[in-house]
Amino acid sequence: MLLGALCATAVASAVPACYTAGGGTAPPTNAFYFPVGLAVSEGGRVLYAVNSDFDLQWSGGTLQSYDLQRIRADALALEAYSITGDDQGIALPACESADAGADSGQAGAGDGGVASVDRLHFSYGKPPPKCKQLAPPGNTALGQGCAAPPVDSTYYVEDSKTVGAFATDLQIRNDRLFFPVRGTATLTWADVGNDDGVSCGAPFSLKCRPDSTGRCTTQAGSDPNSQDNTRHVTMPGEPFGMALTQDGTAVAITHQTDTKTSLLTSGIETGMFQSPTMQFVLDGLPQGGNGIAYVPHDYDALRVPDPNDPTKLKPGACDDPLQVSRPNADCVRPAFLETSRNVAELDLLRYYSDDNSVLPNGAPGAGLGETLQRPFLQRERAYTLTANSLGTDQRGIAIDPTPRYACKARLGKNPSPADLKACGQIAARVFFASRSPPSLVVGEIGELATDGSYDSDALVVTGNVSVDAGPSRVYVAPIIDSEGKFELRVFVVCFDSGAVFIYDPDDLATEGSNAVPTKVIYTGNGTGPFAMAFDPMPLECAAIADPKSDAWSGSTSDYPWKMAQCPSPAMSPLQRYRFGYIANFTQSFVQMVDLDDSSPFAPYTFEQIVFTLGKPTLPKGQ
Amino acid sequence: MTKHWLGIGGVAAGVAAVVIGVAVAVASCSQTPTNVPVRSLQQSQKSDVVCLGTLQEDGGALIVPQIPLAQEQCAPVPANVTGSTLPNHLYSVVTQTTRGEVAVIDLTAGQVIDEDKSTPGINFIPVGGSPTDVAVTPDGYMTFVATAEEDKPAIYAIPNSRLLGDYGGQPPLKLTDLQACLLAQVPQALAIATRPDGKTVLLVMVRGSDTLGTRAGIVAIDPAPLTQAWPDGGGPPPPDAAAAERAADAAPPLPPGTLTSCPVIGGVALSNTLPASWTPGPAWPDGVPYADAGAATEPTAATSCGVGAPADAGVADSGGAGDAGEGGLPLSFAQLGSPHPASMALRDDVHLLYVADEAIPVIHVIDVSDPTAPHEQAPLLATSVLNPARRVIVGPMALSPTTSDFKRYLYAVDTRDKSLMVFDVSDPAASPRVPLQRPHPELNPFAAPDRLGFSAPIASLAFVEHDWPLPSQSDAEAPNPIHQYSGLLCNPNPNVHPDAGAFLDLGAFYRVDQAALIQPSGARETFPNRLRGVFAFVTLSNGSVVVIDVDDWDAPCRRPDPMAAGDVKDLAGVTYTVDAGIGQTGLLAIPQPPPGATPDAGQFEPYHAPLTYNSNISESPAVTLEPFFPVSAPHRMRANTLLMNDPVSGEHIPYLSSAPALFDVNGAPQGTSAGMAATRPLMLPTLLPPGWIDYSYLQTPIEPNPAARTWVSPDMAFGSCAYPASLLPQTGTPSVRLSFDDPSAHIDQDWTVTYEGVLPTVSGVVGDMVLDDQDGQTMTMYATGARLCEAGVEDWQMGQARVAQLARNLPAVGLPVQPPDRAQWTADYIEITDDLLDPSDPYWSLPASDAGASEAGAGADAGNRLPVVNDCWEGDLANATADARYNFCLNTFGTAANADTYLSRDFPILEANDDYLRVGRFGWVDRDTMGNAVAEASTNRVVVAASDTNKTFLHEAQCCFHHQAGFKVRAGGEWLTVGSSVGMLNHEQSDPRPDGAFSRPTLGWRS
Repeated sequence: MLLGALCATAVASAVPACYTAGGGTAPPTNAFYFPVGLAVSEGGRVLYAVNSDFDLQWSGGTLQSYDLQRIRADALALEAYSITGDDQGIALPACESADAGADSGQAGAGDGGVASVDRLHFSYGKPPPKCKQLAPPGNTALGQGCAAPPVDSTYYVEDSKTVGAFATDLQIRNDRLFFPVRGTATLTWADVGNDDGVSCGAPFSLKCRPDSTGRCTTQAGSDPNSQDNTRHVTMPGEPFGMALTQDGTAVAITHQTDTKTSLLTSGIETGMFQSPTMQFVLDGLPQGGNGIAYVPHDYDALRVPDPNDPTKLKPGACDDPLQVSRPNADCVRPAFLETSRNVAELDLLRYYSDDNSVLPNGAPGAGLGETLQRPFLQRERAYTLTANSLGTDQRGIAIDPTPRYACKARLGKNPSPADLKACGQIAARVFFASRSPPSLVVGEIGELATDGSYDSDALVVTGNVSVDAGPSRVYVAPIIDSEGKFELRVFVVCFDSGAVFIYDPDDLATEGSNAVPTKVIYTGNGTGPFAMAFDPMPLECAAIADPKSDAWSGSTSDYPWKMAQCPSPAMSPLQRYRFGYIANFTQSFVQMVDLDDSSPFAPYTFEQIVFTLGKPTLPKGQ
Repeated sequence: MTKHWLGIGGVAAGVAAVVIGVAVAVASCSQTPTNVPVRSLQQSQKSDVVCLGTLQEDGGALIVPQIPLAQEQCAPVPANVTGSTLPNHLYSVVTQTTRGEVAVIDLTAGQVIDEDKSTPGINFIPVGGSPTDVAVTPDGYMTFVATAEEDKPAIYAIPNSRLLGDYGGQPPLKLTDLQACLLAQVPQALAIATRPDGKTVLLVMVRGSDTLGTRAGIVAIDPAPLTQAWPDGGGPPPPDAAAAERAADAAPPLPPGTLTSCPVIGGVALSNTLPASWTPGPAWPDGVPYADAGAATEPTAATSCGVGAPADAGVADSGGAGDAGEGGLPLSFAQLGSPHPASMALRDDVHLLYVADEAIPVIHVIDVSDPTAPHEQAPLLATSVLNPARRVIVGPMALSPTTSDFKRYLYAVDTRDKSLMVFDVSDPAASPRVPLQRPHPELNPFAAPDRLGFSAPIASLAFVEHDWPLPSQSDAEAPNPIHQYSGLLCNPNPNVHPDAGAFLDLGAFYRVDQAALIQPSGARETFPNRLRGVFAFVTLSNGSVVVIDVDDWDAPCRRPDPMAAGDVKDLAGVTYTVDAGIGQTGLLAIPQPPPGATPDAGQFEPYHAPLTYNSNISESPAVTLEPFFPVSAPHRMRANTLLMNDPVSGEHIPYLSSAPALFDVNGAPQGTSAGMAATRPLMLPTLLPPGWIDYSYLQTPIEPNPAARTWVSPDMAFGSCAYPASLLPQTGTPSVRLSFDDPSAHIDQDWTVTYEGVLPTVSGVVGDMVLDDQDGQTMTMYATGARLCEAGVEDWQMGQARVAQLARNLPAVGLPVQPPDRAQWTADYIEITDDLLDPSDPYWSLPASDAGASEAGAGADAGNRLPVVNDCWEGDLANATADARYNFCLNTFGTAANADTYLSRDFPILEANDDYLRVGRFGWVDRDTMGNAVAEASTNRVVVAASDTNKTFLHEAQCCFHHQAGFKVRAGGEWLTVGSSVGMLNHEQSDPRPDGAFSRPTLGWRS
């Protein structure tokens, strides 16, 4: 009922004047308030959150950074306390004590230490005695009883900035945070420092250009005359879903009450950060765009062996996979898949950088530029959905290319182009949430066409599985299995039912409607989970699975399909931790889910809620 | 701990969960309320059934414990009977995958069993986590459940005498009450086979693991140690000596509540080998058995008075069995991987187990004649005729009952194709090992030749054999329901029902005029729902259930009448002549042979009935009078309405809602008769061959008497060898001939026929405009990835070929070859749909040379962008102002809003490829013979290929549209037929070029 009322308010006030900041009380800087987006820094040391100010109680929303090192350390201490009853704490490795340096890039005092449950700032005192001693098996698991009581989240806040009301998402790329803001119909951004995952410094500072009230003004979409906005377009109202291209150079944004999708350049292309710029508005899409995801084309799939030397690739044939926004004719231009709330259809939107015109090698004019270098989107395919009985309300979408990587990892060192091509032509898995009926729909994109050629855009929906009411967002992220290897999981956030369904994508791919969730996490009555984030791990590495394997530690020259080295256990804490973070919209708190099945506490903690950041608070009037 | 009920919203009877909120207020932890959901069925998956004697025969008192019975003793609940009062109840045991439980559903009473009434909610029997399959022993005494719980894959045994928990008057089963055993590998499916000595064996399909070094396969487990803890739990003793013997010599029982290793007594690992090649399979029966038996001519493509059949309308061109099997096709796949079983099906007639594989395109065939020593035979191959290189992934399977022609079919889901494969497994040794093919695939261009396709992914499938049995018609036996007859073919042969009181074959009781005798409220309109025979039920992920005809015993009675080629007589000697409207309706509606004089000669054969009408019992139709034949054919989706224009169920045949009309570009109707016909095209229906008849023109579709029927236009309805005068231009009515060959080829949709219509598959594509090396004699529109050939674009070469074919065929039917210069303008053309850039756009000021661009800094920024060549501006435009350039372009090309009428936006396609279109220019004679100016029109232009005369125009086009434009493609000089559901039909064929660079110029044809 609350949500309906708030939605009604939002729709009724869908005029710019209602969203402007105006006066009013500044939002709390150190608390969650209708959080709608989470992101973890690339090195895994900072948790960023964007709050939406959904009931317009304040003068705006907030963007916050949290010290994830301390959060994890305390979560582990609480796990130990709850399971063993030992409140003396656990030893922590370097950089993970409470005093680890921030932003400085220096180790500071973070040279190890002990995290003790004594220092935890529980909202209501220490955990009660009955939450100790969970062993032996059969006792209440963490998160299902009272072992994850609320912890004062203000203790972990490092920085906060005021932003527009009604943000909808948060993503990070190349040390830049992006978040659509419905209140201002903009893509707002903030820059953060680099988090290399090795040094102890952490990029807590949120850098955005403030106005006189301290509100971030770094936003694109509202000014038709901004630099490089050559079409002089403004962003339509109600931006919602967001996706970046694989190289991060462009951003596509859906609009939930319109037939349009916006395209912006992200400004991170050259390495010298420029401002994101509004570029194009694609019209004619189904009403109510919602989820959107980048289609991960695999350029090995498109490469052509050199006819003169089959062991090598044909020169110039899709030879620079990093330049995905500027593929040559043998490659495939970047694309997005978009869902709609009102039409049973997925749409493939092709991104044209309009830069270095794509002409076949040897063709007249090949290599010449277009006369106006202005990116645009084009709706190139529409896939009618028949998998669900009604199927007119699709939400979040995620695409998983890891089957290709896993295949390549099995090839060993110096694979042949033909083998890489065969692996690259394995379909990527597509998962999207549908509310009619509540389900996760499963499909594949990219497959051999009927004539034997490879069609990178062919979408096949293979089935669905039912979930609880109100599925909204879908994520693909790895867990650590009991042997210490990575396995991928699909997380379906069900807002209305307060649940997160976890599926093994292998089960979904092979068993279709017969697949069973590996776990269903219930976040609490009426809590409304909305967004998730995960400790970082490149999907290529997750697909390799075994950190002890040669493919994991091998160089990118031996394994040319790897974009970068996988994190070394000795150097990086990246793979030491495997937590998921759930932003709870309705009651304004964040929960941590332990996704490490190899830890000694795993029987009690794996896929359980083990830590609660912030006090669950009902909205006013509830 | 105090539990507060907030309310129960309902109990779902399906897989959907009903989440009920329960607030758990823990005194010390009240700040972290946790959700304890109470549900009924949730994530139900596999099921089996068991019959239990539940109530006493006299008075209905509960029997404790319940008595397992043979399944046959649980008869279906008759209509108007309260099932809950019957003594024997059929229960379904259903896995609850999310909660690791087995639910019990009373199918006889229609309710979900609550195993523990003392606990809120509907409670079930706990087993291990992630139950994957459930199986009930043939004697009904035990239920086994396979579970895939991490680290604890196991088999659990449930005594069926305790299946009902405290609902059945016994304590609810706890997990620790159950005997169970631990498996070494994760089980996915479970079946119960019988050994030669009568003992049973559990066959468990297990997954392999590359990591753990285990292989997928079938494991045989002795169930005896899992069944010996009972009857001390309350069950009765085994029912027979064999069972007692089994109990006596079995291994020691496994203690309940423990998990020790399962007693494995055999097994086989699945093979990952494939044959090197395969040959497409034969066709399945086409539903015309009298033709197959040689009693009539096999159907061939229709010919029309000397005019050859369309190129792809013949059987030989269909990709069917006839031309696909030569030499065999290779069967090799990269990265095949290890076997990964998906599902299995155990036969009941021979000792074979079929195991579908997701990793290898096969269905493993396991010989389980000795289930303790299973071994693999040659597999069935999951192949695809349309794309032999595709690795088919097999999902669920089902085995059919034996059909009336003694066939058994295995249906297997092709999980990536939303389709089913049909295998004939009647003879395990000799039956083909690849999917059967659709007979006469050329009759349905929408269907794959070796698949049954569906609109949504397939969730599950099952076969059903069902009948509406015939009560005995003998006075001595009636009304004893025991004396019923089942499995009878509907027989419309008039010899078996010569008069109202005579039924010389029991199949005559299933005629249309006897429908009410067989089925309450039965009528002709209920035939589609009168399921008699063997049918497959396919459940789609969207909730739809599709019924497939496998062996429809009413098939002989769903047909037109007569099915004859010439005059026919009925039993009363009345003659019905061809002139009254007798003819073949479709390619498969082959005239039936006349009945012979004796039973051996077909006197009473259901398919020896060229005329079923009998004037002795007038107005009493034997058949449905549907114009199609066969309506019900093996492996065809079943329609839920009669396929005819029926006054009750509606019009369910293809028909024209109105005559085709011609409109101009502004939508104004154009006359095509009389004097107008000379210059305006008239849509003519295809000529119908002699001996054929078109039921579209039948005004009285349910009139059983052929002589009493009326036809709206007999000259169009009856076949002939020349176009009748009423059809010719200037006098005729435009029309379209509709096919009655295959009902499945028709989709309920509207067709639009448009002269030079827009290809719906290409609209909105953006191309880069590049002039050729000859300074722009031609221009190429590059649209990499647009797959233009697949979209149906045809170039000038293809257009010329079409015109040549037309010139050959038109004279044969007496039509003139006009206009003579058609080949000069029959080619698809692109129409640029973009607007010009805004006049204020800086583009219009860009210099026309590299040097200028560098100096101006426009087009080559400080980054890594390449320089712009914009030298397409020529003459005065090279140095003109922005306004002058814009105005010139506006005058030349107009706006996007007027694109359809601005003919300068049209560019004929000289060469079509997947990624680009090479275009030229349209030319026309701009002066008439009197010297008057003539404007370009779509009716007076011709294609101008590479030519110096093209340069100026193509330069202007390139510059006016800033080297890049969106476009659509029109069918130049041709009619384009587009369906509202299927869009445009296009038969694309590959023609790879030697260098492999740009392949597939179009060679196909369009509707």
